[in-house]
Amino acid sequence: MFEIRGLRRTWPDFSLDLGLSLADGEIAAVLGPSGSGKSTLLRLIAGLERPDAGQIVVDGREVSALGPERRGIGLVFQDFALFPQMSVRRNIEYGPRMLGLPKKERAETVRTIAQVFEISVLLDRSPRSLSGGEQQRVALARTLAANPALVLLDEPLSSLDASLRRRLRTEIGDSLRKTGKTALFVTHDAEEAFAIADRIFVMGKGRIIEEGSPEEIYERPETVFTARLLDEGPVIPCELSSKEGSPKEDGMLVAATTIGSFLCLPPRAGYALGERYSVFFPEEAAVLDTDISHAPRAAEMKERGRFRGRLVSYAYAGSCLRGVLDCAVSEGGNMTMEVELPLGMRLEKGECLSFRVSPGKAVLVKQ
Amino acid sequence: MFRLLLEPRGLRAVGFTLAQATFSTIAALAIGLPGAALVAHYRFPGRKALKTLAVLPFALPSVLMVLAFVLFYGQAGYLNRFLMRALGLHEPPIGFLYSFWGIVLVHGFYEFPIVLQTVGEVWERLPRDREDAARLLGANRLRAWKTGTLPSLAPAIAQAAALSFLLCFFSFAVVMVFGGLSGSTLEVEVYRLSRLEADTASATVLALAETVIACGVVALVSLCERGTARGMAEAKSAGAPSDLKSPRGKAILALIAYASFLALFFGGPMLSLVAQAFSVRSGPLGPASFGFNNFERLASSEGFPSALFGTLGTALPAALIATFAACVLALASRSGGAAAKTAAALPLAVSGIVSSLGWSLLFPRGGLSLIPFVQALGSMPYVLKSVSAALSTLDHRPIEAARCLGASRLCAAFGLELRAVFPAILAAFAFAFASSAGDLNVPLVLGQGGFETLSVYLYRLTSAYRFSEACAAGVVLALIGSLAFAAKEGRRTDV
Repeated sequence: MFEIRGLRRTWPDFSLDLGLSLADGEIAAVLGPSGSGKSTLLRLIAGLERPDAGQIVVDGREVSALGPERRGIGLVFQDFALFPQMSVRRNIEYGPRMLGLPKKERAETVRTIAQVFEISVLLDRSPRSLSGGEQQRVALARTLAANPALVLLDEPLSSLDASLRRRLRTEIGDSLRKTGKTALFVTHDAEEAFAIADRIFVMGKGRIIEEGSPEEIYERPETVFTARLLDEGPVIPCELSSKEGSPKEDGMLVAATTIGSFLCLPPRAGYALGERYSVFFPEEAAVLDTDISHAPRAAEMKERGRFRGRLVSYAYAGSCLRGVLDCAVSEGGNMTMEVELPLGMRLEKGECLSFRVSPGKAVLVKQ
Repeated sequence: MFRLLLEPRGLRAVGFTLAQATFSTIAALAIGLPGAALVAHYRFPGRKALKTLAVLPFALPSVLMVLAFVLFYGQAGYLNRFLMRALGLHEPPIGFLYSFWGIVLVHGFYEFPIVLQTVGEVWERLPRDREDAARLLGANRLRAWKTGTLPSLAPAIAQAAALSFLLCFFSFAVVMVFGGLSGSTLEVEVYRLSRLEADTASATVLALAETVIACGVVALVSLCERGTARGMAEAKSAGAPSDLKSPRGKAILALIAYASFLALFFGGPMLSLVAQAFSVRSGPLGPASFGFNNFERLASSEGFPSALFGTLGTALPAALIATFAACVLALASRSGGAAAKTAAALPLAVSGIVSSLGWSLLFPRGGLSLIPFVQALGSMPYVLKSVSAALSTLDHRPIEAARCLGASRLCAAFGLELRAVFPAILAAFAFAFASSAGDLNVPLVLGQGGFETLSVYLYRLTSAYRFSEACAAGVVLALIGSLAFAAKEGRRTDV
């Protein structure tokens, strides 16, 4: 069990204040934009920075007052921080050596961990000669060889190229699960967080904004901050009147926006009338209404989940066409969003298109 | 002829040279490394000034340093007088200045800025990730530093040590004054044999021995330089360096301790020099007061005006020659002329005395006109390095654009490239001027018919124990050197 209670650190222009806990063997991600304090959080947990207040508990042991070498916490650095003057073997052996393990046990540890990470053939090579992916695996192996109670990973894939990143996403998750370690990693890449983590903490401006499983965070983000961070679809301010704010079919709510009204799932943590909300739905949830061969009439547009807009531009995006739609209702207004359009359609810039969002695909998010 | 090297005089000179250079380097490292650590980690007032001290060993005349240390650490120096009064002693407690350890002390303080700057510059750019990684793997602070930082820092330490060693190895004025009976170096022996004993053959043998050893040290310096550059490139790929921290707790104490140490033991001699230059005494034991009497006496002395003109007359052309040649060589070596670069580094292995001796043998009728050329040759490696470094950081796209628009190679090189690095050229000129103006060795060997520069004049005043006038001459010399730097700053340059 790993727990942070009331961890606080203040700088003149930034403050970090949060708490979180992880169960044994859980892999969690802290997802946040640049400058949200993710890496600082890891440095505070690792003991590389001192907090102003708060407790860090690892396996029931309060470690806040201990130096980094005595916390039993491992950290995989963004740029791996391998020791270039040592072979891969000696890099991995470093932690066990510091633990005072005898030579035989050290060799056994290195052998076992190298097998887990499939780096046995690299053991006698210099870190300088390794590819980015190999360095990543060696860095993780080195951290785990020291047998930490908690593994921290600082943007573990950010210094790798896109294709390698995709491949290593699952590899890292699998390796961590194989060793049964509790792990916390920080990233700004939502896809990375979804692929590796069991649980995601969304972080912004030094605070935890919300937490949930990858599915919950993707399908039902609770806040505008998370919805914008995911960048998967439009976030449209809405009004929740007392009349319409009462639960409708299957516990859904009707939210009225400037471009139409939507049947939305309420926030996971519940909702309160009078608070400010927005409607969010993933791009792929907005389906082009091909039944309408004419410009939609006003009555049709009152239908829940339907909206229209003028096509500003579009471009080929592989599996679909990606268009930019101007949904401004009033003259001079500006409400653009990206939509997916089927391939092979004859489109003209400026034409009016109508879309439909099925009930429950849109969610209410807190401002 | 080479038997001299196996005779006691030759052996003693080689041994003494190597020993004093080794211990002086250790002293420079001991003083410079803590400063490098502070500069690399913390933001504090005077940090930039501390780093710019690195120009001191090249720009501050060694004879001035000698004078400052005599005034502060000497038998009747400020420190001894203070200690005698404070402790009620009848004899001065510090009496090692005119000995081997005196030489080591002066060299240590003279060369430490090189260590501070070279090591500090690299250290502050190193990412801390490796050291942090080692700590998280269970290493204590020292072990983590040895694992994560030292391997990247070692080439820079070795480079600074090798350069310090080389400068101490060639040291002349310090050994001439403080060596006394304790011994003399190859450089001093070459001078004595050639100028005082008129034994050119023996002087040449020792000069050759000195140059061969120096070649090895220069090779070591460039090897370490390459190692430092490689380490820096590798460290760059290992992450961004950490930001400088504001000192807290023990760091504040460390900063205060280091600043006090430097202020007392290094700043003290410098201040003594200025204080002595402006102090006027009514009698040998009379109270001191502020005044310009020393300067007045200096101005009315017979040798001063000619020494002043001698300094300007040699340092200006020397700086111009060095800067022009460095620009041409920098452009040539940038486009693949590595041989030119190596050739330009060679003067590093030849001391001022040996170089002067060699040129005077080669051109016996060269006379005074040789002085600027020999001085330019001496400062050339440093000037070239400065210009080359500026050229290497230049964005070459505008130059390529100019070539595509019809500019010739020469036109682009002189009209655009050198113009873009003009601040660096100006800084290089200032440096060459200051180092030539403060040079004692070349005019001492090549000066004929009573020709003197301020350095030589200052040396003679110091040898004659005319300290007050010497201090006034020293202040004038320091002002001339710093005027060139002030002119550079006036152009709002940042090099």
